[in-house]
Amino acid sequence: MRGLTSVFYRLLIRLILLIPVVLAVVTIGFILIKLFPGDPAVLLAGEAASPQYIERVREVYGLDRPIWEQYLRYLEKVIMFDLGYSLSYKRPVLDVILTRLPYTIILAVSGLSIGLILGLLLGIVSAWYRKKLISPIISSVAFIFYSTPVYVLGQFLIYYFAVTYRVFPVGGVVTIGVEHSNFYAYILDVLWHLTLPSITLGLVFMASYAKLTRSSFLEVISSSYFLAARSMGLRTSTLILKHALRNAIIPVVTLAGVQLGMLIGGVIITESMFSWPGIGQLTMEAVSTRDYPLLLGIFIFTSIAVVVINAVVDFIYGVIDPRIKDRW
Amino acid sequence: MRWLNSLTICVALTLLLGIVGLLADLIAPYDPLNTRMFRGLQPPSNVNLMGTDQLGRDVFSWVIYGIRTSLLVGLSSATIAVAIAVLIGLLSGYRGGIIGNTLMRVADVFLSIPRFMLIIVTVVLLSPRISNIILVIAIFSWPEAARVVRSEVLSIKEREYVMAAKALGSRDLDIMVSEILPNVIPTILSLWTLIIADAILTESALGFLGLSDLNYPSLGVMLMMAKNAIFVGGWWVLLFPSIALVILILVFNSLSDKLIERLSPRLG
Repeated sequence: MRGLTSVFYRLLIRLILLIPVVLAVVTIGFILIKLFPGDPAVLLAGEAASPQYIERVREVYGLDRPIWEQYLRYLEKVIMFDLGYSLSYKRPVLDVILTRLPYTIILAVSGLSIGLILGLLLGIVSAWYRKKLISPIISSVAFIFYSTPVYVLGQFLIYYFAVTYRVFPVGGVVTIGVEHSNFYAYILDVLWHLTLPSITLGLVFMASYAKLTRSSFLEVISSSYFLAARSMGLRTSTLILKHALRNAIIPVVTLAGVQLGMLIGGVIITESMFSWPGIGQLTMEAVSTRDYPLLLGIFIFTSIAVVVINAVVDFIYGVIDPRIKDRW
Repeated sequence: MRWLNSLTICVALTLLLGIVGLLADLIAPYDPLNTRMFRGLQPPSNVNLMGTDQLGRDVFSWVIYGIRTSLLVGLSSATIAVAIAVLIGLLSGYRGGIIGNTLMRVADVFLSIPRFMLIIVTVVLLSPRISNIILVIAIFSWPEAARVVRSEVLSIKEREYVMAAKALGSRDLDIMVSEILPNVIPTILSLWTLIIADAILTESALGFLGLSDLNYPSLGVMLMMAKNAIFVGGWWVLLFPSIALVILILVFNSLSDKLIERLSPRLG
């Protein structure tokens, strides 16, 4: 019981320590508004706003006041979860973001999983057979994927699997104009549409996981406890799965958490390529309609989300694996 | 792929790409920005080596000038980023203090928020001129490099020769410049090439999303054209710019790997 309370307190402290980072994110947002070469009221209202609305926004954000007061008002609004009003959607920015969020989560989670599974597999094979020909081949392939931009990879997949052979759809979430007979048919349709975008995202991240798995796996299988397990005559599958993988996987999963910010970059491009209606596509819509409040709102929302998720993931590792020292 | 693993070949390829970029005016047969609608989506031929896109622009010329743009953005933003990183890394690694530590906290903040999203928002707000793109990529690329430089400096400053210099009464600035900096140079070179690769990737990604300077042909823009071209059979619009872009990124990534292996074997 005492252990549980201390874990709770540690989590609490961890989250409190996030406050400066969140403040920094809001400050960056404020600096961006100030950097805008035009009228900040136009920026916060949106370029298509009427003069009356722009005047109201000027008043609400105190844009005719001293700069510190502008900052405090902006900060207050963000803390109260008020990210402004999107003119192109005629709804509060936060609402618009939340309706798109589930799509991004589905894509990010499936892409990350595919990347992790492929990366672990390739890493283990190339470490286990490190003296065979397959090892340098895997390393080279991983290196080429590592240097391939996500939209090059995605477009080749679209060209082969959606245009030439028509195995998978070109984009979207469900087939347009099809009545789904039941819920399972609907889910299957979504999964069918999800395949190409999540593979695209997964292949891009596969490379760095493969590289890290290889080195961490090599470290484990050269350790003395692994030698002991091996000399007991265990089967290869038991050795790899039970004794090596368990320890080798930790740094890889940690990397997956750290790469969350990078994942967002991949998600933006993948979504706009496959017309997947998540946050990434929303970002590009905001860019093309010059909906600045929406754009800034997405930036602040995703930044804070990534920071919080990273902290929680990091914390969970600390609880699961006591060898990872708490760094706060 | 052993051939790619050799430093000499990487350097040779880099020089070759550099020459292509420098002599783009001589190599490219057409003005890449020149549109000729009546010659839209022509397959590769003697007239257009790599075909044309929907607007009738010559893909080969675009690729040549695209390499130039990539190198321009990559080299200049990486150089700025590394300069900032070395300054801050040295300062906070050697001296620490309030300024050094604050700067590292700033670096941490930049490292924890989604970088590409921040770059998109900034470029949109400032308008996608080439100078803005270079500056924005540079400003958001230094933090990781600064972290690496800092940790190198932290370990180097405990070495005997630094102690000796200190005992002889050298000033801090002298120690930083003549004792520590030379030993960080391999790391700096490797980081520099790594950031070049990353900046080329970012620039083309911005181009692909329609955020590029229209006066500077970007490989990403041609790949954006490919998005529609592949539906009407225009595979050449996708294939050739992709090859150029992957080679560019691959060369600078492996250059970074090879440099760190060659120049400081203990890290390799």
